[in-house]
Amino acid sequence: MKEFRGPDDLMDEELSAVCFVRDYVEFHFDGPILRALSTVRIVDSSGSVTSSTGMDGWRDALCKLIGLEVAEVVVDELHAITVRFSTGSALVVPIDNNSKVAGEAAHFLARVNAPLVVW
Amino acid sequence: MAGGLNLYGFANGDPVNFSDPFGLCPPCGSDMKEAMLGVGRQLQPIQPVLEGAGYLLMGVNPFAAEGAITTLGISAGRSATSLALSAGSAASRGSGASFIVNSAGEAVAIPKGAIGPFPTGSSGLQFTGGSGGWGMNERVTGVRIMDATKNAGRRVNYMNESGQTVDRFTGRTISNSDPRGHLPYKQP
Repeated sequence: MKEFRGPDDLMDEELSAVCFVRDYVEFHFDGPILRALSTVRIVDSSGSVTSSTGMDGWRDALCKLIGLEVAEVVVDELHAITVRFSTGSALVVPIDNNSKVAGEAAHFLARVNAPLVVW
Repeated sequence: MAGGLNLYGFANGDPVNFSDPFGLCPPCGSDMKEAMLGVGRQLQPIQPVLEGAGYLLMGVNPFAAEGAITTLGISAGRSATSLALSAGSAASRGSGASFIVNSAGEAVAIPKGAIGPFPTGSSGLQFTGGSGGWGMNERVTGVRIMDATKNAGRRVNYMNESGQTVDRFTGRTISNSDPRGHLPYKQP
């Protein structure tokens, strides 16, 4: 069984669900969860922002990512967690200090009741 | 008591009437009150150690009639992270801890059966995999203590099995911006 220690281990997994919880969003990968407490962005393969939390249609834009396979994950501890999908589009979760809400910007949960990784 | 350590800081100096500042268990029964008094008794002889460190881990031994509270670990430094690392390296990580106590005498209840302390990846510690206890809803499975950061003070956060922040009494999820999810906790 594959062990998930952090977002890097999401490679080749599919985004199975987008879950809107209160004032934050979770990205489920058939078990592991990446929780975005900051303002998330969707960028296309050229790096242009196509949607962001609060923009018109942002929820639909996030849900359209469901079913896509993760092709690359970059965790830049000072700036953002970037999950790039096989289509070239990417999900960007900012984790810089200015993006933190109540001191936190993102969580990674490997499985139910596992310790959280917090940014 | 010399040094200013308030043995009953967790109960605003009134453990008999038991009005703990975190509201961990306002309507709780005598078991919680006895446990808290036990925490206070245990703190007294180790006050100098606690003031030099930051946190204690304490457990309740259900098989002991007296002295049921035992000290399981002491942080090597003043951060919650140091407790996670020192307790983990001392092989005391397990499900026996019931409270985290800081040098101000403030006790944070750990959900029953939760395992830890684990580091959080950033600065803090956490216990996971428990369920309720001490007046908390059974959906509360874990607790985190996060060290202060540039834009947030030291804080306590209760969570469910998915790591979502919850109200500890109802077990319901709450907004990340809700102050109930980030209870302030004194710097040791």
